[in-house]
Amino acid sequence: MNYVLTTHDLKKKYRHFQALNGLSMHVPRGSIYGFVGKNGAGKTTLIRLICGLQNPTSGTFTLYGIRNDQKNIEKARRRMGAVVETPSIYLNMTAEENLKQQYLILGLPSFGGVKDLLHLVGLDNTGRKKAGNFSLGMRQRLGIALALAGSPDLLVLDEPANGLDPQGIVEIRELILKLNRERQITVLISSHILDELSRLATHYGIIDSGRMIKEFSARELEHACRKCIRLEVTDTRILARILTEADIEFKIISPTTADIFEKVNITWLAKVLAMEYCEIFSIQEKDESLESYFISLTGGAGHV
Amino acid sequence: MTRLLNAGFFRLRRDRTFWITAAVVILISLVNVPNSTESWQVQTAGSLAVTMEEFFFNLAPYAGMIFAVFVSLFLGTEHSDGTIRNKLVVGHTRRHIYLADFAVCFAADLFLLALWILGQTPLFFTIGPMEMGMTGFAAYLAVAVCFTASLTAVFVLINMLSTNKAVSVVLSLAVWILLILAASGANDRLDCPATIGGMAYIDGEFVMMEEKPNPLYVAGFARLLLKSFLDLLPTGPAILMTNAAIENPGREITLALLLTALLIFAGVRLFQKKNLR
Repeated sequence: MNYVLTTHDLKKKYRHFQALNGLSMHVPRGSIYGFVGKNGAGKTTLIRLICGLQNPTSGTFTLYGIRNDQKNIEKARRRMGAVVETPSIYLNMTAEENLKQQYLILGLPSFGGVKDLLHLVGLDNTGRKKAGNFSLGMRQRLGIALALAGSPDLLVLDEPANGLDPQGIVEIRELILKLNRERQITVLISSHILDELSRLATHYGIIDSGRMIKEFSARELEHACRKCIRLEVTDTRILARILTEADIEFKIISPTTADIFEKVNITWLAKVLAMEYCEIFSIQEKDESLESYFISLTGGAGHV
Repeated sequence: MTRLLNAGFFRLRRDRTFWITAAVVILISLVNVPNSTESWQVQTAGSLAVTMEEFFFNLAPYAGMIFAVFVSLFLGTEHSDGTIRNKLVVGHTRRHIYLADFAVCFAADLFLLALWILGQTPLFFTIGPMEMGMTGFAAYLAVAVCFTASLTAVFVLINMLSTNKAVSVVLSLAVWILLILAASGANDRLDCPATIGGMAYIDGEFVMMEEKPNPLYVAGFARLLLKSFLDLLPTGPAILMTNAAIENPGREITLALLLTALLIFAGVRLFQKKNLR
């Protein structure tokens, strides 16, 4: 797979606190990578390292094939845009002035695309209003516009839905999807709102105590969280034979546990299993979400 | 780096703090004209030998305070609004960011310095020409430019390393006060005469006192060290300028430029290692 960003055994220590503890992750090109973890798990620390705000204590990361200790890592960074924690905007400037300022930082030849960018993030009618008087959602959108000013291939968003009202959350989601679909921008997004993240992400990385617990695609998550009936029986070999004969999709979890992925007549199943001297101990409907999957992986302690 | 400079000057032009500081500088400078003129008239009427230079440069020590406030508010915004991240994220090096910020602040401080000088020019009409002549005046201006550079370097270093805007303002002003106190203290000791004597009024008569060595007088190698310390302090030339007491402008210029280069070098090295949020 073609990766935009990979990290290898990345560590970051602040005095006595180990924020990242050998983190390895892989962000595929063109994906929306949901970065999930509890408070203090190390999400923002990783983003700060990638953005060059801090240096790793040890380990490496590679951005567009260039390792962080190589001299031309700055060139690779020109292909990315980021909103780290709060949007980085000049509060005493208008949205247009903020964008012009970013255009100058980037060395773009003209301010030609400013109006288009403002339109894209829905801030084209803000006129002479200073960014200091913007709502949180407007600031967030301006922050994203600034990150998009250099036409990046990778967009890094740290908790973009933080503090937004439901309407704002929907707007940001629509914007991220649009950028990913229409401009093929890879998006690395950290979020606490797992339900919201599950509507966006194509890939996930779950981080806990500075370590990557698991990386998986949305398809794998869908499979893992598929709605099913979990059965506990005396012998799953008998159950498997009956379900195969009835052409019902299932998965054997253990010698006594199996998941059935289709609607099944329980009375019929109990009857045919009884005829084969196979007893049913429990039947449970399973409908796992990203949230419950996350809790099952991290042990559920602390806050997401 | 050119891109960062363009962006820096774009922001400077739109920075309200800068224009308010500029207005304050020109106001203080203009207010100083009638005050200085009146003071000159009183002193000359009392047969005191005072020169135009002493009035023209009497605000020099306060330039540092203006620079401290402006630089900490201007650069503090980069940290408090988080906009310094926008430069790093898109691949600008920390060295370039530091140097560009220094260049923009130095240019702004020079502009403020020019406003102060311009505001003082009516003194040429109310008091008269300077005794030092045009060459001396040009040398003093060059010293002013150089101490502006070294003071800017001090405040840029503080503000690039301190991420809290309020702390930066307080710290910058505290450092300026310390530098002024150190320079004034050193200058006072150097100004002490080698001996003390003079006249005393005893039993209804003026009596000539015998000249005695002054215990506060700094002599020999210690004097050389103290003089070098005063010259090396970024506020040193400003204190000397107030009394029109700069003996060797070339030395002041060289030391100020040396100090500026040293502070920038140290600042860049420390900034490169700093964890930003």
